[in-house]
Amino acid sequence: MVDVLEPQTAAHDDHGHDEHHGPSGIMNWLTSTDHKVIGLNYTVTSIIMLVIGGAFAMLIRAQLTTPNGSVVTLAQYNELFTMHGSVMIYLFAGPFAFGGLANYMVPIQIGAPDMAFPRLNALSYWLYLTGSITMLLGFAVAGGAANFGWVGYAPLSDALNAPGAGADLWIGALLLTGFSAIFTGVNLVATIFYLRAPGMTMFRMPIFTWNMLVTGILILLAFPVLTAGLVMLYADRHFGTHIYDANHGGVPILWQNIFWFWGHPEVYILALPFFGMVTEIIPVFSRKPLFGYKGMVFATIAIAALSTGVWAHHMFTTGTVLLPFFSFMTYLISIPTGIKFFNWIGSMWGGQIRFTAAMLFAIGFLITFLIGGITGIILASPPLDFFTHDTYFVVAHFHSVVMALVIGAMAGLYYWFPKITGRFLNERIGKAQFWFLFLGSTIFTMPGYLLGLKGMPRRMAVYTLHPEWQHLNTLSSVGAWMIGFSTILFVINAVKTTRSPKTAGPNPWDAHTLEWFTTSPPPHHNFYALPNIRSERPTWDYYHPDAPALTHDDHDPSHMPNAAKGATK
Amino acid sequence: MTATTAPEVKLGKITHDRPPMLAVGIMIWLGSEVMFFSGLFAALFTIRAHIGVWPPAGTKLDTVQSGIFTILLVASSFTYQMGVFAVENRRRQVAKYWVYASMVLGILFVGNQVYEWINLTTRWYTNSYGSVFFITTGLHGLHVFIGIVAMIFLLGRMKGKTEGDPGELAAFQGVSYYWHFVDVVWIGLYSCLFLLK
Repeated sequence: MVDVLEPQTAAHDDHGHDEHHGPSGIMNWLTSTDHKVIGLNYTVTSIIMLVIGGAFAMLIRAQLTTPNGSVVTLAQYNELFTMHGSVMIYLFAGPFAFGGLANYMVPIQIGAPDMAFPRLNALSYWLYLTGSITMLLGFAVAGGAANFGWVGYAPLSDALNAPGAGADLWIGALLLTGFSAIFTGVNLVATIFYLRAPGMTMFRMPIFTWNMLVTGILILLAFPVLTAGLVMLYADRHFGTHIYDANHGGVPILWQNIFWFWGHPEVYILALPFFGMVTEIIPVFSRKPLFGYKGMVFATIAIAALSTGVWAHHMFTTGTVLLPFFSFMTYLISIPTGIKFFNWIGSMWGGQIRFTAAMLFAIGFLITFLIGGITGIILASPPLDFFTHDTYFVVAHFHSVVMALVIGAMAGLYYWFPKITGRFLNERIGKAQFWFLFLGSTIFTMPGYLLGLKGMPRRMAVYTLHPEWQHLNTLSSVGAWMIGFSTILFVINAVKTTRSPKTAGPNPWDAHTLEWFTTSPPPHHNFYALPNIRSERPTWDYYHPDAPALTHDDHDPSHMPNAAKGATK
Repeated sequence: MTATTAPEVKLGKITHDRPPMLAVGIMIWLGSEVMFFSGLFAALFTIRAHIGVWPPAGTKLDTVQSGIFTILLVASSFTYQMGVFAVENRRRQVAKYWVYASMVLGILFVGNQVYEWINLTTRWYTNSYGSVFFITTGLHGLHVFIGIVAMIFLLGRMKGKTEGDPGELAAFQGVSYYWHFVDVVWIGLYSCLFLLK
């Protein structure tokens, strides 16, 4: 069985040991086409965006602690909630998921030396960075940043209602980051179809890679439609066209259809990568193989397919959409998502669970996402949606979902940090961070549901007529500040870790997938040697030759574990 | 025929044991282009359904003239594909002529588009129909223009080299996928704007 090199014994290889070709330091960062450098650039940039978007959230929550808050002006509040949503969705969640950790891990998980198109990959990053700066520059122009909500509904976003340059910068930023996402999607799909190592069949790919394949396809389906909508919005604003202008035969509701045709798949573009991360983490720390591999794959595909047919559930109250159809399609999504939850729990069931920080975050993800998912099912019912539309119930629902994604992001970071840097993040700080983040998320969202049922509308800077809403709002703010504090803990942990020794080794978690076979951090072009890939757990098989994984597509009985045991007797 | 000139004849058709990565990547990217134009077609049909009379009274389009240039654009797909076949059969000089022919046809098409834009009485600011017409034909025309630019780059890549550019056929094929795609989009757009009443 041991017919390959030890992963860490190739220091005299002419590639050098974890060194990059070409320039080092800042020039490496600026010019590299290595997916690992680009992935790290993405990760760091998007975490900076998380901090910026989070700072906006802290201000919003400070404003809402009193019924007649005076932390910001009403106009500033409009900019704040618009930019909070925009920064978090366009500049943090997506780029972190499909540009950051996926960029770093997908080629390594399939045994590839790099992405299919490394220079296109670099272009993706630079478009993303340019777009991010473009959006934030809105605060520096006369009239301030965009202020029509992160969804930019017509006619709020037309030249009459949003005359400032901030709105144009917002449109430009979405176009730039949109192209960045499309190119990343092309790269992910091409890499996964084309550059898998020998033996890495589709049904041996790690679930994270599967999820990124489906995410890539969803990006290609969704983002270009938004691009088309934005081009028409820009033409309406500056060239005098009338696409969304009801006074001249245009259709404002068209924007909502186009936006949500992107916007709902976008929810899954954000969620699927984190589903994938959690699916990697749970089996490793339960010391079991993943339960229901193929079920996971087909559930992922089903979620993606259904997500393209549910966009109008964001538009129930417009009166222009077929309520039963979109309601039914939305309910259907809960089936594959339920399969995933079943498999996650099944993977933990009877396992020897190690409660590391990464595993805690993964479990926190499950619980928080479950709350977001169940309230999503409530909102999928048109009568209930009519009652709660545009209230804090909706805000709390999607914040449960996205806070689950942030918790999932932390799970991924704590899990892969030793691979990326060779160093462990501090577990004690990590666990403290988990409890602040997890409890903070719950304390932050739960009052929102109640406020929504009481009728508090979203995007209100003051609620002078309803002073009785103050207690719940203050409680919600305390939760938000706990989340903010947990982010500070993470930054402290990451900075502190840069001084700790590189003790991780190639496979610190006794994990399953290929990225744990190579050195930490991986060398240029990722591998000195590859193990035999006979199952979806090649690294496990290598380290545990007496207990190899079951294979799905290999019917040679000598590869079955029981047969192998029998043969040695 | 002497031995020194023989290789050109002896080498058979260029084949790949699997499609080149560049061609696969362009195919995947064209999937996103399909969705981009789907967004524009969605706007077209939404506004068409909304305004009732399509095209609005007073709209004058020259279906025949645009039809002729449609045929020229379709013809350019065939000339370009002849170029691909020529590269496969190692007749690089012939391939260049086919690319020139495709470029001329593409430029003629864009030229007609510009002429049409200048002479249309319905402007993009007249009504929502005009907006749809100018935005869809404009973004399609931009795609034709980008295709012509890609062909210029392709000719630049072939310049001065004899045999031995391993990526040449893949680049040729990649541009061909794009060019055929832009062609097919125009057939749809021409049908919806000029023929569908």
